[in-house]
Amino acid sequence: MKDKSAWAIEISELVKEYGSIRAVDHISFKIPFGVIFAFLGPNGAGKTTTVEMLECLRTPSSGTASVLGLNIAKDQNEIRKRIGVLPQEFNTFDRLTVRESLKYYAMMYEKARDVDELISSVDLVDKANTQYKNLSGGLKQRVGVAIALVNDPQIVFLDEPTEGLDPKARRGVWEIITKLRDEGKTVFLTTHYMEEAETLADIVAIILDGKIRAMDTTTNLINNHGCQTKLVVHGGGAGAFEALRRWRGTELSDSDVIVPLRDKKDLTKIVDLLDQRQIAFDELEMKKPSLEDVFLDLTATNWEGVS
Amino acid sequence: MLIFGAIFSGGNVQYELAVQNKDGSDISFAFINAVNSTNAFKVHMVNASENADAYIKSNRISGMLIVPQGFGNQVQHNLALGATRPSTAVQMNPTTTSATNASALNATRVSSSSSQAQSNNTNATPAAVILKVDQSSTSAPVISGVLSSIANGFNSQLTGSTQIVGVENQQVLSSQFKYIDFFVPGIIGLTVLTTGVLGTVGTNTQYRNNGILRKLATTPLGKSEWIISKMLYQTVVIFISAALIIVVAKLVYNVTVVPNVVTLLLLFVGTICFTGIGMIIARFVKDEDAANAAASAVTFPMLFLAGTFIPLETMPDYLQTIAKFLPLTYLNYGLRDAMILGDTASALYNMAIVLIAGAIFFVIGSIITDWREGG
Repeated sequence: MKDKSAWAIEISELVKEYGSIRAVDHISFKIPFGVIFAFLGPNGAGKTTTVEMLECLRTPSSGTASVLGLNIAKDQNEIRKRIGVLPQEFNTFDRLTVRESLKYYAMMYEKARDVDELISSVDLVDKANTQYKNLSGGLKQRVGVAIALVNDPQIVFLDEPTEGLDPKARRGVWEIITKLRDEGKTVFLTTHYMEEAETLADIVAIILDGKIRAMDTTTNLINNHGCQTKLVVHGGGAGAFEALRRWRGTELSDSDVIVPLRDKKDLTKIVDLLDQRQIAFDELEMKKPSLEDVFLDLTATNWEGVS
Repeated sequence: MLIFGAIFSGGNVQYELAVQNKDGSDISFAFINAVNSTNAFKVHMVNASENADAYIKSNRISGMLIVPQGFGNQVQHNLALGATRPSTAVQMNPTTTSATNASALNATRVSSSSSQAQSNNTNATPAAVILKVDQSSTSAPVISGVLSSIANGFNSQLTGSTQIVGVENQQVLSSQFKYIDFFVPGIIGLTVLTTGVLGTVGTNTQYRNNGILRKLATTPLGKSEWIISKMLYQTVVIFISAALIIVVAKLVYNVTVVPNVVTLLLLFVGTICFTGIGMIIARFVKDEDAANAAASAVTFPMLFLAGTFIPLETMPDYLQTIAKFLPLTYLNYGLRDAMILGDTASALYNMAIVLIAGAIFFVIGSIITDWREGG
């Protein structure tokens, strides 16, 4: 059978064009089974277009891709039976209860999970008989995840699953995503939250302007892209900035001074210098490099400008 | 405003009038010429051997003037006798859509007050032409009145002042129907139209804009299954609505409409047709508010131009021509045929027209509805 493929997803030279605009530009990568794969990129980078081609919602302009060893151009019906999808800005029927919604979608599949067991798995037992329209944003996303799992899929596509959620609700969704990996499912997570990808993902790919800029494990991405540990002198102000600016890359952010550390001895030198010049500050903080740093380094984009 | 203006300010209205001359005398032709010369009527001559009731029913005409055999001889006889006041008779067709005069419809035979046989001479038999018209129609009093005036003018020409010729009003069929009986099928037609078009447009645009269609498209559910399920849902809604309308009409107005299998088929076929139109609108107008406005722009004129509330024959010719191209016109006709007249053949004929239109709209709507790439 085709799902004996070594890869959960294989993409080769995939292209999607809308008129003269190339939204996805010859991307190629492979995703193994049983991992959380985070697909990162700013809005308009080509994330959702790529995902929707894999979900058989859009037809590629060229290139090939397979999901569970099934060709997205030829085996669409079979793929739809075996994947779970939480679309971007998920919604379902307002007046159906959680249980009714799950039963509705369960009827579309030859084999479906037990609805009550599914409700329990996403911690919605108390809300099982609540209409969808009366749920909070976080609970609605849980319903969306539950619907995506109703056919017990081998691959789950989650497109911006925590968009617009408060931190508590976001953590709740993260727990569910982690549990999916523990159950052996492959999760294709599309997000523009760096923290989310860093916390959850085993493998991260960064797409910009339709091209894959980097793909690796989170640790390797951080290590391989030369991001440095930084020292933050909180409350140091202009005085500290003047004293420390000889360290290349030093920045003044409000009253904080951020100094890239290229050498382990740099920390001692900086503390001594601040002491010698009697420059006042609130506290010192060592900031390890993050996926966000990698992303900013790769895209050379101010993250504030990316929604 | 433009629609109502067009309907009600149509200028000189000509009423369709079938004329059957069973007499063939010079006097009968003279009378018909007098009718024709008024320009009030668009006269269609009908073969003398035609069955008048059947002709009226199958051709959906508001009025038919019959000059009976012996008319000419009777006029000559009355002239010879001297002063005579012959009767006039009018027959009405309850099958037309122009049903507005409820009280008149209750009468099985209505005598024209202006021309009732009031012979002062007991030896004289009135020379009566027969006018069969739909008493429920707003045009009935007008047709009857104009013909009475023509008869009076004809009398004046023959004798100066004495009434020799009159018009006898008759209904086509004995009928216990009231205006509300004719109105109910129109209301049901309206329900089919609005539920089909507005329901489909509203659902499709809302589901597309809030992402439900996108989610459904990721499941094994096919587009055709989705469209058919929505159409069946609309049909159920329409069946329930029609049942409620009929129940209320029976309880409150004691209507005599009789829904049957043909009625159900008509409702189903109408649903297909208007769901198809709704799908086409929803495909091209993405915004929910704009789509509803576009749907209203299609349904509202159709509502009034298809004779749902306003008799078609009271509208100007060009609007009547437009009405012939509206599927709702035939749905209304079909529902009235099926529910009131029990004319299954005519109902099936109208249903076939709605079905053809519906098949075209539904196929186009289904093809252009793209819930994956376009959605």
